[in-house]
Amino acid sequence: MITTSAREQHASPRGRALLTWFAGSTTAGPLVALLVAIAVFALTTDTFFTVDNGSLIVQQVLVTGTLAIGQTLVILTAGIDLANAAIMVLGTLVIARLAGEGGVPALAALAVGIVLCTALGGVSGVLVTRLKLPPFIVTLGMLSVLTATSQLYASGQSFPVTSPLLTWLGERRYLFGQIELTVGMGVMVLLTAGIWFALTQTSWGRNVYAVGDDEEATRLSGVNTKRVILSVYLLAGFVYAIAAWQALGRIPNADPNAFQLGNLESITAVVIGGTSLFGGRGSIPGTILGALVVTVLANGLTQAGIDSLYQQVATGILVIVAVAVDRLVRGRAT
Amino acid sequence: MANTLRSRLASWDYILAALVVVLLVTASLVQPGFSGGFNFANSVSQMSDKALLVLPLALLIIAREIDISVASIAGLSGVVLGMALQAGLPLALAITLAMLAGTLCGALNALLVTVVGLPSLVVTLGTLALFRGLCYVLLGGAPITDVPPSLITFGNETLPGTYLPWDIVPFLVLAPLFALYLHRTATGRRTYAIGGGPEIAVYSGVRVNRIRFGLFVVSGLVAALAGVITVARTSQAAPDGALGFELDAITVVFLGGVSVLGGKGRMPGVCWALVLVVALRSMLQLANVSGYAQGAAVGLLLILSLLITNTTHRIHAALTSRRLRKVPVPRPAGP
Repeated sequence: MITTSAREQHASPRGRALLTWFAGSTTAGPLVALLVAIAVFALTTDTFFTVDNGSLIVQQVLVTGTLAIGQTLVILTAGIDLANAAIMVLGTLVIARLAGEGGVPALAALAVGIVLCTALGGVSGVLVTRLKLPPFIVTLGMLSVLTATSQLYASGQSFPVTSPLLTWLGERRYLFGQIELTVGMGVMVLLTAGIWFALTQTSWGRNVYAVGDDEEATRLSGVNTKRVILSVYLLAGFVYAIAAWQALGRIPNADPNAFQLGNLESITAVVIGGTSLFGGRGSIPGTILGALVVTVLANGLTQAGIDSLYQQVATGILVIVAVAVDRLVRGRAT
Repeated sequence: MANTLRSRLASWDYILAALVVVLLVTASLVQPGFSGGFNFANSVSQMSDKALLVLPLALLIIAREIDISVASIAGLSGVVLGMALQAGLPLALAITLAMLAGTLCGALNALLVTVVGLPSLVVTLGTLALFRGLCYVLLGGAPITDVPPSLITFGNETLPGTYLPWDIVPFLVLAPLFALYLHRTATGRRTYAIGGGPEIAVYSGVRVNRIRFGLFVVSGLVAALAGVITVARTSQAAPDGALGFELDAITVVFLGGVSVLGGKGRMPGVCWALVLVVALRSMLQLANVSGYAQGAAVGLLLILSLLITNTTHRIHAALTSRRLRKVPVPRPAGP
């Protein structure tokens, strides 16, 4: 205490403000990590720090980032969603198969996919709230059931999509005739802004943070905590549906074996983004930065010529380091 | 209180045992070939590696921790075994190296949980990816099929004159040891104490972190043994060996009546649950249900088992609160 105040007296007002912001903000850590990663790869490879690669990274971050937004919502309530990528993959399969061999209009197929993903999020939510099961176990069970369902539904096939609506998010636009942008990036910005607004500017958002911080206290202060948690899982399911749409835009082919590490990568992004796994603390901008860190690392390793076999190893190390750093910075009393 | 608790848990064991008997009888009546010795040997052998993973996992969950990296440790140990064999090392040395690798993996988990103080769910989620990733990095995707005949015999033959497969023997030896540890030693009692309330255990003088450390290391060691059995059973060391086995193991532990919140559960219940899952998988397999659908069935069973334990707990709580209500309570004045 004494040392801190002594240091604060010596620091200039601006420096002190910066220090306070750094210690209190959830986005400072991931921002520094992102800048460091970019600097390292920019200095060590020739191909990393280019406009084209920057655009590629942003395209690569869309799916993981969207999954991570849903994951953030769940983790803010002190839960965890191991089934998010499995929900999304089943969503892509259903949309692609209905629109392809099913002959259903693309809009209807997309609507079915969105309803399905939202409902599946709701199933997890009901099991967590009504039956008071731990989210980790519920979503682990959901993960195996949904992975199996996807495999059975696809029966060893993958389903290409051709409909312009379903691949719309992958459509390219050029800024200044040079910078490649996709419609998906716009959707991502809208989604981020929308969820950020709901979390920080509405009473629902306050309740989400409160439930994650102390569910019992929140319930005793008159909030219907079960309804709040259920709404979070439903909204997360909807976000996974958007992730499914993004995935079809990026690669117009629904594959049951895709995104097997999606749950882990999204958790890594959320943890790097400064969201506490114990709930009640975290932010959407932090998660976006976290997702960028994960993607920059994967992209940078590829640019540096390191075998893609190492990516799973890197993801594993990254999630542990992220939690460890979080624990060391914030102290043990979380 | 302790008495009712014990009787309730004991009764869960009996419910499971009854379920097992019912399932076995129905299966042998309905499913031709189920009660045959060949099917018995085959089904038991198929679960022999998963069965081993269940033992340390039960201890960890009772101590309010979890290790979901067990299947990846088993896979990595299998890869180490395969590479050692390929390098021309004798079988005994290769198996020792594999066990050593598993122990080191367990020690890494233990270190991160006890010394760094991270939640075991996230740590082992990370090492699940890390260890599996190392399998692929080491082998580069192609399995090693250069396995000595003695190991293949161990993984595919039965004890002479019986239908008991060789590869279930390590489980049959270890299961009583784990039960003895949990129910008959002081450290076993302390494991329950940690799960019941880690803080209280610390203040009661239990060396919580030392026991936790030990449990994670044992988990790694036993997972390595399971990995060796997987190699023996499948006659190859593949990078995706034992992939996804953690789900079956976790399901068995919860189905066996171990509480998600720690501090509750008994080895006999866990063993009955194991028999139940073996019988269920065997039935589904004979009915030509695909592996994926079996996976879905296990996932559903995981959620169902939690539902059942949860509901029985609630009914029990409702009954006890009704009993309490009968005790005359002085009524406060006023409306």
